Amino acid sequence: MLAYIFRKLLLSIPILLGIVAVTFLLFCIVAPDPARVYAGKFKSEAQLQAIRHQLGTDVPKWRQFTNILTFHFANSSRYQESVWRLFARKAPVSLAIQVPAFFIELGLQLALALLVASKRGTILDYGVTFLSVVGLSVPAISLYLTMQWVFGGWLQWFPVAGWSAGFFYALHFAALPIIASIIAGLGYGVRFYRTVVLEEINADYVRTARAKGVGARETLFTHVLGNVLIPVLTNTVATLPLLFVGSLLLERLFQIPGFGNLLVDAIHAQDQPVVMFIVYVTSLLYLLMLIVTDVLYTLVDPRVTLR
Amino acid sequence: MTEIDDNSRADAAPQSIGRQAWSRLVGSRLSLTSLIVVGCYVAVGIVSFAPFMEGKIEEPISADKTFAPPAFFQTSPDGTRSISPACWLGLDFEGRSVLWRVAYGTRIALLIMICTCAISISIGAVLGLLAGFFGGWVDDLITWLYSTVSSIPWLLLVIAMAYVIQNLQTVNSGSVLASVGAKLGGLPTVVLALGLTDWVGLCRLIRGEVIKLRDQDFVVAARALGLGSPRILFRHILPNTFHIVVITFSLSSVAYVQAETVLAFLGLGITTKPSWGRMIDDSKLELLRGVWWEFAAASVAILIVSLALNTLGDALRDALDPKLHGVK
Amino acid sequence: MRKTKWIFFIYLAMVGLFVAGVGISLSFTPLRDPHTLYVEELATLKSLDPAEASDEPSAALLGEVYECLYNYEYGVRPYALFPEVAAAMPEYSKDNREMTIRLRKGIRFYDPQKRVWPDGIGPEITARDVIYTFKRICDFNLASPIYSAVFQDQIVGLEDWWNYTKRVGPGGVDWDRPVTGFQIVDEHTIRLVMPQANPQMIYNLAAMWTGIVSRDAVNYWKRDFRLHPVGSGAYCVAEYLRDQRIILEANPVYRGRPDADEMIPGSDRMPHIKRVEYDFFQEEVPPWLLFTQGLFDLSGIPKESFGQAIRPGTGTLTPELAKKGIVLRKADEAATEYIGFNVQDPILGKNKPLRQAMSMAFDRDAYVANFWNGRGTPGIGPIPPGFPTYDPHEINPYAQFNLEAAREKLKEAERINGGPIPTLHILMRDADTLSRQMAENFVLQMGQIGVRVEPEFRDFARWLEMTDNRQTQLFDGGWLADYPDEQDFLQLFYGKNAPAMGVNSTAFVNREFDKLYERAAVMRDSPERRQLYMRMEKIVMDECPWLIVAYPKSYALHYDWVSGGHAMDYGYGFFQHWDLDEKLREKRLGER
Repeated sequence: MLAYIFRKLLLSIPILLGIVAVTFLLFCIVAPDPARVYAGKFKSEAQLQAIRHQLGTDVPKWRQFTNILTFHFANSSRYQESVWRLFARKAPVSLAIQVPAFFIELGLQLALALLVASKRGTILDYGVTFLSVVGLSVPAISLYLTMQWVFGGWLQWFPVAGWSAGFFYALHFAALPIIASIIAGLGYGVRFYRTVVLEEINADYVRTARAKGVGARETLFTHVLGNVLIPVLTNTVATLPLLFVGSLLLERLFQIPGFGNLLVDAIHAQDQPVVMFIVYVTSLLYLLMLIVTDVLYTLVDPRVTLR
Repeated sequence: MTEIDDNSRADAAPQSIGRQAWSRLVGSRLSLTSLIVVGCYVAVGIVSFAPFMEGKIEEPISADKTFAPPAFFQTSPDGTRSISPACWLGLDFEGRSVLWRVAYGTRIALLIMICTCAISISIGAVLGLLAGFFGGWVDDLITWLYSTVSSIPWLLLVIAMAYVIQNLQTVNSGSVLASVGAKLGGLPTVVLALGLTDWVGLCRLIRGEVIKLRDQDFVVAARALGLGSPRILFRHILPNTFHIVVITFSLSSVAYVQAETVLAFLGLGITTKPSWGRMIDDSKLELLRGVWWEFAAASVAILIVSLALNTLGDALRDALDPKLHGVK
Repeated sequence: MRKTKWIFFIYLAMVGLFVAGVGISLSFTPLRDPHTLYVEELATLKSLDPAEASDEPSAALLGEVYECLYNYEYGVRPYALFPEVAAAMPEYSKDNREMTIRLRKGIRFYDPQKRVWPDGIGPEITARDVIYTFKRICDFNLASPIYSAVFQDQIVGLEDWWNYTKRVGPGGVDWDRPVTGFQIVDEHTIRLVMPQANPQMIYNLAAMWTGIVSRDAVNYWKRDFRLHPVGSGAYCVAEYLRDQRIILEANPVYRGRPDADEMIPGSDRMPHIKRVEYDFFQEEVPPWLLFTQGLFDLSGIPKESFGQAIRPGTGTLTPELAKKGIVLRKADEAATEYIGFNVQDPILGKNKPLRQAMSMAFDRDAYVANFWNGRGTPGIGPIPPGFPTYDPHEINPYAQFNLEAAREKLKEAERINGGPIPTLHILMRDADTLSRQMAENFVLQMGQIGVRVEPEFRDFARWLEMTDNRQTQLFDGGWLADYPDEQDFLQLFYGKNAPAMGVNSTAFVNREFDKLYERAAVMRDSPERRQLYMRMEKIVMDECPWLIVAYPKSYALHYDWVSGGHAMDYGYGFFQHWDLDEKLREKRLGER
């Protein structure tokens, strides 16, 4: 096992380098000078030089690249703050929305999938499947805007947008984005898990269990669910690092001061340290999570061996 | 059973599979409906290429009737009522007909779908074929490439690409892209940004399929006959991957149309002509005032075509490759 | 198995808790304080350090907390400077190169967090503090974005100082090292020495860029100084939640505004409003909704809501808003919106008739009415209203909408060009809805005389870069005045500012203009100088490096329970003049 992990880690290194290189190329080389943006309407060569020195862009490009790889990020040009501090400030906000949404969504998806798979062919099945397909055909932005309008503007149950500190106040603002996020992701998940569950249900071992007299519900929960875990893991574990970033679209529309919102602003304002930080860190975590997923497979299903 | 045998005879395979798939498609009511819906969209899109549409999307129905809600009739200044299709979906902030603009949006959506698919499918298919067929370092290289691209958060990659492409379109750089880009109002940016970043899924699928195929009898036979690699690749293996291409075409189109709405929201979309994404973006602020028709029209247009293409994609998947899909 | 059931129940319990939490939160309304003024701000603050606050929103906020040597009298037109931290207007030397400024006594810094000094009350402001503030702006290691605007090349011996700070790095600067141009004459007198007379320097001393900071505070907070302002103004920052909210509270040791209550013992010390809360937003509509619900006391008007607020064609409030007790305040802004012609472009540069033709083909009245909802004045020349040389009745023939004359000019243009005019490109600052509409409108208007234009949309960062590098043909732009002297606009046409990065973004160069500019540059305000300014403006109107679009007007709304506000283009520290009728507000909000 350790050898496997080690090998995978080694194989991930060229990919990681590739990711950082590509992003670096796109954002730091073929891009306008951030010092200019920082300087605003009055500039002079001397001043730009000073700003570049502060932003850390006056070192040669390859040095900047290696700095990124060793986690030596310059300060954000827009906030004049260390990117780590920005992360500590904003990531919890994104997480406050993504974590509840993730858990509730997953639970709902599995529950619905199990439900309709066990009642295959009925009106309930067709209805839910149809709604799922509709759900994944609706453009996300339309869904979010509609919910903003209905629940925020018209019914006025929730605020239209914004954020506040303090637990219950934050909850008040987070509720609508969380619900919107869940609804947006439901369709895809229900359909996917339904297919997976159906494959399991038609497998021999289930029929054997039923023949032996095990109840429908029990087979579902104990046998089938266990085997569904692997696709669930595949789907979800690797996406966990992205929870920090949050949904860019969601945060922008609901004015959540989270990490995703920061990212969009950073791209517009040429805030290179922030962009490179997000890409590097999330890619690193993503690749690590892939390895974790593989390891978890062995725990879930003893038959799986890692070569 | 017959299908599987047919599948292994490379020359005969595409036709009979195709015909079988077709009959399957039109047999099911659901997929037939989807096909018809998509057909309608294509028809509207083609009609939108006609010159008269340019005028229809720009002229205000009446300058003072901005934000008019949907109405069946239109009252002209002298009091006569007439049925006016232009008003059926209401008017936008400048008094222009939402109906015509949504119809025009079909044209842009079609262009985006076709052009982006062309790019992403070409890249994905070629790379997938090469990787699967040649194996070895070619495979390693291409695998590294798509692993890298797929590990970067997609939206980030697209936005970065879009900016780069925009920069390449700077007027004074004198490139072809500049004049073409300006004329088409941002279309190349969207198409290239999406196309150059979304080829990974297809690449993986085709690579997998090619790996399965290259050890099959007909390929071995072809080699034994002394046929060169390119010929084997393109005349024998590629046709057997068409079904993946077709399914991907249908399903990716949905993704591209929806991606365009996100790009429009971020300011990177189509700028001079009304695309659905742009209409949604323009109308989002009016929503909170209760002006819902422009938003609804564009959203529903996307919803229906996505629904149809998704259903079609599923049906195609069932029709063209029953072995992959063990359960309906 | 039992394990699965347990997981299931725990999961349900957590979801249940979440839903319950949401339910409870529904009943939570933010606490409101009856003594607080609630203000919304559509911005992200760059920094609370005056030397870094080059953006409008930061500077405006800092103006409540910091003070400069001079300020503008509140609500007074024409704009008049008065000494704030200074004791009197500066004394100029014979050649106008030296400014000697005496300082008031008894102004102290205040630190609301009580970290820099034990009880929060700092020492009296002296000449050392003022000179320290100036030197700090010129510190290479601070990389202040306003250095080039304020002091670079304007003070003797500054280059030396700049290179010195660069050499020793951030930790090694000896702030007492003398700079020739920043002199401490005695404890309450400073002197600035400039390489040549600069009548506009005093305006720099009245802009929040030169807000006086305390060396102790900077030394204490170091890099975090930009988060913890310590000033001498009417308010201090009680709380700062980044990207969310700032709370200002009245400064207990504030001595009162010199121009208003001359330290009359026992008088009601300003400010009257003891607490101000700013909330930050990035989109326009949510704060607007909250304003209409009475949860904010002041607001601007987002474009989309304009029809809801203002009756079309009249420029007055709709009855719907008037009935809530909302008041409209209109004012001309000292700003000009224009479309610039890159004079270095081969087609546009040598072809004055082309530029003039395009300028005459643009219908400014329609533009202001349709795109700005009438919130502006159609443009005449580069200098907007509010300046002494602005004459609303002046006629600029090339700013008059005249399609026939435009077409005539175009014929001339085609002759010079040697054929029909090729497609031109215009660069827009943003890709949002308004920019797209404006671009479409421009294309249509130019199309009427047969000139084809294609728009390109970028965001501000890229627009800046492209205009800096003179990489555009046409571009939309605007310039907001920083001080009440026409030179602020005329510098945009001065030849020496033409190369890349200078503020002359059209790269306009005209010998006669430059000669007049250099003559006026050393003159203080006088009828003679005004004559020079008018001649320069005439040259610009004739040569048409700008298609003058319009001068924006600001429409601000506030409830009738706040009063005392005036629109000010320059100056700082405004909230101390306002009054809040708390009882009236309570009553009105209670009625809803």
